[in-house]
Order: sequence, then structure tokens, then C-alpha cells
Amino acid sequence: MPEPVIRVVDVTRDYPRPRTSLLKPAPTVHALRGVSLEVQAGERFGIVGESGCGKSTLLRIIAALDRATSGQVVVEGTDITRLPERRLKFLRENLQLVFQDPMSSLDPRMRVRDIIAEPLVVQGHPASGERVRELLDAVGLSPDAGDRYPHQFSGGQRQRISIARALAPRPRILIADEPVSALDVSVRAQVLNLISDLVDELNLTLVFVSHDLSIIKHVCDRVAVMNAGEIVETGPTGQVYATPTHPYTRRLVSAIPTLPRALAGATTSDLLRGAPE
Amino acid sequence: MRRLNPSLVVGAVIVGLIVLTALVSFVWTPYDATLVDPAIRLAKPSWSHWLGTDKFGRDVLSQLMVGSRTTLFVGLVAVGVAAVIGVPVGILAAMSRRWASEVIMRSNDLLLAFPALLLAIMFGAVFGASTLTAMVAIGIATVPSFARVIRSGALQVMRTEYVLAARAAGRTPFPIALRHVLPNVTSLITVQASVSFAIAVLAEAALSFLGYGTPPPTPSWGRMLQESQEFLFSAPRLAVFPGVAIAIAVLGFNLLGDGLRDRFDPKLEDRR
Repeated sequence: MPEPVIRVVDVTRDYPRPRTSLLKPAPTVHALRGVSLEVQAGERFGIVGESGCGKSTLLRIIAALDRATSGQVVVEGTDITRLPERRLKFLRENLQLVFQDPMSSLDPRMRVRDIIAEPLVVQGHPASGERVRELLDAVGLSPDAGDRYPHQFSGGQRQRISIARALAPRPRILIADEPVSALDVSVRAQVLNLISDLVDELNLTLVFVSHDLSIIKHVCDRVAVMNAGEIVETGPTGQVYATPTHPYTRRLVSAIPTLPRALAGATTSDLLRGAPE
Repeated sequence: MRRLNPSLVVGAVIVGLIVLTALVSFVWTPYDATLVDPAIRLAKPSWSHWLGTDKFGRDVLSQLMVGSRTTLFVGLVAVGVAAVIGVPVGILAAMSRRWASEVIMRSNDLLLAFPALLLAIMFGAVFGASTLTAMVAIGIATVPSFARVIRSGALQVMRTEYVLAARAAGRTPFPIALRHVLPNVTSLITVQASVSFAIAVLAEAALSFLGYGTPPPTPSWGRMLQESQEFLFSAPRLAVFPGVAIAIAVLGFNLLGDGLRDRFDPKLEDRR
């Protein structure tokens, strides 16, 4: 087996909480409790779990935006766990992110063209208008979108801008943190297909996080199921979806609403209880 | 198109009028504001002297007009000093590690607890009473409130995903502060500046009243109040006119600040 693009080995992350007492030590939150995973080149790797299970923390550690308390993260053969920011240039060029909240992920005071060109400017590439237009075109926005401000766009369009920014420095790894969760159902499929197509076209490795297993199934080849800071199950998406082995995964799968079940009169509470098929 | 709120309009009009008065006073005043004419001491308001004259026979209207220059100048410099120091300190506190941020903010609190007027009087005693020392002292005393407000705004910006995206693109802290944090706290700076302006106007009047501000003969609203003290019963108008001028100016800047705050509310602005 070739060397994986991303290797995470037994990573933990503790957050100190504010002290509640002068005498007792500050309580800690264990956001990650020994997470290990491997992502192969060109793979579409999904991470699924409910909110607060540590998915975003894991992503931030992989992107070196946060530091692991213990464990090791290796990206493209380089151990980034304790690397200082000035030696992370290769990571900043090769790994980009798309965030969840289309409102807060674009600076409201910057024009779209400057937002998209930001990674280029930072990394010392010539930030040509040509490249920005090319990117706008790639994500299906009109060339004059570059002159406008983020608040003039809808949620779906803003996610397209985010994707264009992420692709600007021609990364090899794309990390998407719940990129469609904040969008209307009607535009979700469009944005998902866009990500899917671009990943194929540009030969990217994709790490895709969602709380929704059916979205992961739509996009990813392999999936890791996270619960309370741990990975409880990993496997090919179809297999995990069809024959979940861990009880948590089973509950997650049975919670996916389907039309036949809805017509049979299942309520939300039935779904949560893991109603029999 | 958003509706303009009344406090913004009224505040802007008042402030505009004061600025206009100050500008006009450079080219025209009814009389020379410092011209002493003992023949018409304490004259009542009349057609030739609209607001009357003071104990030296100087025209009160002209003095008020020229005094507005002092008021605006003091406010500008004091707020300028406060912003130039307070904004970077606030952003620095928001972006530094927890312990460094604590050190900055606790020293900030220490200065915040120190009365502005006392500081200004100390400055006056040490460096001599002048408009400049008063302004700088008021400015320094206003730094902590600036730093506090800007820090909280900057903390919000630092938590956004666009700052995360900038970091993922390889931006280092200083450019992030300059390109993302500063532009997104400008509305806070504007609001804080207009409110501080009102405080500075009041502080200058108080200092001049106490004799630690603008030295004679430069007209200043605070000193006009002080000089009117002995005539409080015989000619109360001498106290009323500058008093009303100060009150209107303070009201104007406060209204402007409130109006700007409503208009620039970060929630309305960024979550549109």
C-alpha cells in the first residue's frame, strides 16, 4: 500500500475550560480521544458524526490551524504535529478548506475578487485577474461577480466563492467542513455536484465532513464514523451504510429519513429510537 | 436602502452646525472675539451684540464662535490620541495568547479606574496648563475604553471562518490584523470616537473652568463659564450661553454615536 496522503495517529485534543473553583484544577474537555485514520491519494474520505463529536477539531488539526495535545499528524510524508508556522508553507499551498457557514467564511469588507485572490497573494503567486475569472467560471459564477461584495450573494453562491478561493492555489487536498449544511435543500445538490466534479477534474484528495450520512454516501468512497471524540467505525461508504457494525452507526443509519418510512407514518421520535425497518 | 434613524440625523445636523460655525469663525465673526471695549461692559443682548458682551466688553457671540474651534480641536486631538493608542492595543489583546491578553487588559483596567480629570490636572501641574496638555491627558484617559471596545470586536472577528481561511492560506498574524480585523472593526471605532468626542468636549470645558485648560485670551466655552461665575446673579446669561453650547455639542456627539451604533450594528451589518 502506498504512503497515505494524510495519516493521523492516536491524536487527542483537550481544551481547558474556565476554572470553576479556586481550589480544584480547571476542568478539561476531551474533544478528541485517540483518533487514527489514513487517507489515500485521490480518495474521497468522509467523516460523519453528530455536532460536537470533534469532527471540526479533527479537521483543524489536520490543517494545522489547531494543535493536537498528543499524537501525530503526517501530511504528504511530513510530520506537521509540532511544525512551526513558517515551515508549514507546503501545507498552506497544498491543503485548502471550505467552511460550513457561508455568512462568516467570507470577509464582508472585501470584494469577491480579492477574497479569491487572497491565497495567491499570500503565497506570492501573480494574482492575475485572469486566474480569478478562470476560478469564477470553474465554480459557475459570472465574471463580473468579482467586483461585488459577499452580502450580494446567496448562500449557495457564497459557498461557490469559498470553493473558488480554496482552489486558487491549486491544492492537492481539499477539506470540506459541512459545506452544504447551512444551505437550502434545493441548492445542496448543486454545490455537492460541483465539489464532486471539481475533485474528479482536478484529481484532488477530498476529506468531507458532515453530520448527514446520506450526503457522505453521495460524495465519498470511504467513511469514518465519529462519536464523542472517537472513531467508532471505518469502511467503504456503501458497506457502512448497508451493514453498520457499531451500535452508534446503526442508530445513525436508521435515523436517515426515507420516503417509504415517512409514508408509513414514522415520526421523528421513532427515527431517533432507531425504529425497526 | 436602509432607513435613517432620527438620532443619527439630529446628531449629524448638530455636529455639522458646530463644524460649520467653527469654519465660519475663521473668516468672519461679528466682532473680534478678543477685542476689549470697557465702554460696553456687560451689555445686554441687542441688535449690535446679539448675545451681549462680557465683563471686558467682548462680544459673546464671537467668543462662542471662536470657542467652537477650541472645542472641536480638543475633541479631535484627544480622540485621535485615544484611537491611535487604543485601537492597536485592543487588537493586540484580542490576538495574543491568553496570559498576554490578561496582562494587557488588566493594565488597561488600571488606567480605566483612574479619573480622567485628575490625570489632566496632574498633566497640567507637571507640563503647565495648555490646550495641548489637556488634550493629550484626556486622550490618554480615553485609551482604555477604546481598547476595551475594540478588543471585544476584534475577538468576534478572530472567531470567524474568514480569519481561519486566511490562516489556512498562510497569512501571518500582522497581515490578518491589518487586512481582516481592522476593516471589520472600523464601525466600532467610529461609534467609540463620537462618544469619546462628547466626553472630551465636556472634559475640556471642565478643565478650562478649573483653569487647567485653554489659557486666556483664546476663547473657550469652559473658561467663558468660569469667567461668568461672579455675575451668576447679575448677568446669568453669561453662564447660560456657553453652558447651552456645551450641552448641545455633547448631545450632538452622543446622538451621532448612538445613531452610528444602530446603523453599524455588527449583527445587522454582517448578517444581512
